[in-house]
Amino acid sequence: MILKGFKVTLIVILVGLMSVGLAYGEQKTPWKIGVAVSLTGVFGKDGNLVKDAYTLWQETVNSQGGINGAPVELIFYDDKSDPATTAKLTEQLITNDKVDLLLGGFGSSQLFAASPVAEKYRYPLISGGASSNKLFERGFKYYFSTLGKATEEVRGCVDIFSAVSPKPKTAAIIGADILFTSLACDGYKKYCKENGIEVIHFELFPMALQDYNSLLMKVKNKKPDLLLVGSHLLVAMKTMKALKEVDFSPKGVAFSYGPTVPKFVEDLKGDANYVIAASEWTPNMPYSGKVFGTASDFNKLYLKRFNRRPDYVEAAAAGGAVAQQQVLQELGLKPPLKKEDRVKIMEALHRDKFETFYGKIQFGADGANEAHPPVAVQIQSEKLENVFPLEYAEAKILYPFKPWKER
Amino acid sequence: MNYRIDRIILILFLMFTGAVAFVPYLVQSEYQLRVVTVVVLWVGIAGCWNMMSGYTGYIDFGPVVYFGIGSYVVAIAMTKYSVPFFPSLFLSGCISAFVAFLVGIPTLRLRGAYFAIATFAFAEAMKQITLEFDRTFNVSFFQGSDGITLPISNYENSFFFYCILPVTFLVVFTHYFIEHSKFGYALKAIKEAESAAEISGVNTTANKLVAYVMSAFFLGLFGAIEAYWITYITPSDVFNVQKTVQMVIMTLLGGMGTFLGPVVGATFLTLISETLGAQFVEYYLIMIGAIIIVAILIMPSGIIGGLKIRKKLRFI
Repeated sequence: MILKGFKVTLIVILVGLMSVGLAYGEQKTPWKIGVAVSLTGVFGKDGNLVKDAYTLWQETVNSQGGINGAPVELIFYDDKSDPATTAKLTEQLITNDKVDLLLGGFGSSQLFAASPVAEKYRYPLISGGASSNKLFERGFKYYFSTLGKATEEVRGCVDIFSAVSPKPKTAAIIGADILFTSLACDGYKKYCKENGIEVIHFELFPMALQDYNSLLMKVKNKKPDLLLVGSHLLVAMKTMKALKEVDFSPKGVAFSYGPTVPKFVEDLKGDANYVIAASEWTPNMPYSGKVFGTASDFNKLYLKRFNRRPDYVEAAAAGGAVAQQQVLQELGLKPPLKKEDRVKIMEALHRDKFETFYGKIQFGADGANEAHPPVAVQIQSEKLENVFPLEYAEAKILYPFKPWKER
Repeated sequence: MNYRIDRIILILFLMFTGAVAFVPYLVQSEYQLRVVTVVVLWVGIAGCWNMMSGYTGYIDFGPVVYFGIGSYVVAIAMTKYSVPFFPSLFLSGCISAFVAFLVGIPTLRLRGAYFAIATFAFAEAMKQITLEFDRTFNVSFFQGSDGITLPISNYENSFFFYCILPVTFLVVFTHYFIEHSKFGYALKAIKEAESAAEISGVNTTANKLVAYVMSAFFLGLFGAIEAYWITYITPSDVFNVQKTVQMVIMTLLGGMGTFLGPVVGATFLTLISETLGAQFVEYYLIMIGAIIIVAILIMPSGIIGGLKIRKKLRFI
């Protein structure tokens, strides 16, 4: 009898130990997710923002018990802002590191190089840092972007001026002659036409341009009401410094990218006021979803973790990671993934709609996010305020741009 | 004695190249094959720079221009005129060589820093031309900063490996030809004392031009293959001065004006970058910089250059 009791106890202990072991073993098999991103080179600064966003997503997900019980492990590689290296690293992540999934880095050229590799191996690739229209014209099934198309991103920056009085009549469009910024300039042109604003100057300049003063003097002499700039952070900063130096104060100044990066206001301080910038997300937007809660919660979490506000590209990157996570949860998948699992994930990404802190995400057949309205923000008292769409605006647009001499 | 060692090295090199051809059957993953392909590609690209600058001492800061021209020729031929890949590839090499011929006639008369500045300026000018051409003339040809998407092939990495390997082999063997011909002596004489070579009856401009055009032909081929491999090109990417810097560093590290210098330099730098890049994502560029500085301090003539001087080997 004692022996029988002992046997039962032993079996119970063994089964208990085994289940603990199994559970432990399960926990030890993480989701390996690879990211080839620019941490150095021209896009190094922007790429590091994307890295921060994914890192925060990983930490948050793991603190919530992982995805379907398995923790997330991220593998980052630096592509040095070189597309050929991005392609090589993407293949390295897939075939050498045998990652379960990928997440996209920053920059259209980089994603152009990475996406055929992902397509070849049938790995879904969601990017939050590339939006060039041509990325969506290749017939790929596995490429997705949480950002809208580059030309559409700047719509808010032009549409906002239909709400001011007196309405501006002319605009000068300038931008760096690289893919994303030149597309932004095309977008400006399109929306100016729609809003009845005449474009009196259109110029694309080399990314490496040093002398912005001559360029802006030329534009100043044409006296446009608006200055619309296709920019990255560096271009936006240089343009602002030159605007002040040549004392050029058009009624409205807008940038496609740059002012939403916290460094813009940190460096320019009061000079950054009145500037309008394209965005896809701000913390006050009425969005909420699983993982991060509301847009405002995401903002708070970011402030706590990195001591700064997130840029919309970071929100878009984290939003993509959340969408992919929701698909994994919906399909009840566990690592390591098989080929056919990734096909199912791709199909679900095309099929599903995702409610997240970043807003609604719905990928079209071409992989672009069709459910995201463009946003315009303005720097007021050294703070980013959402001014468009008008129904979500947290502040009224300050117009016209205050002349430099009166500041 | 030295000739025998030279011959042994040549045979070993031929055997090594033969062995490399079997790499696609030996590697365990597509990534490993891609790394080997990248190494072979850079051996060839660095070799092109060495062919001109290593032997003549003329520092060319614009070789990337021929790489870029090759990329654009293949892209335009394939997308606009539906020319298949291999004829487009050949066309890329020919057009690059032709442009080099036209550019070489005036620029190769310049010496020292003036030549370096002229070649650098030409590369930057080509980048601007491809960026602005369409807008200026209101056409759709180079497609400016939008770039060109090439037809996406179903070819595996092994296809590109077997495209690149023969070209690299030809580049390295051109070095062999240079080392063992009157042409090579003429190039070396230009490096040592150009005026003296001229007085001795060497047609310095013609010899430099041949080396320059040959180098451009091969760079055009490499540019074309990489463009088809990556499937998308923009002026900023294919005319990126960083590519020039990389070929210069690889050659200097291996040994300028040596047969095996670019082979060793490109292999060493690519593999060390791969290894450290995977382990130390944040710091690997600093580490590579330190390694290059130390290597150049210890071996100012490069790895092979130092060996060549120490062992008095002629053909390496």
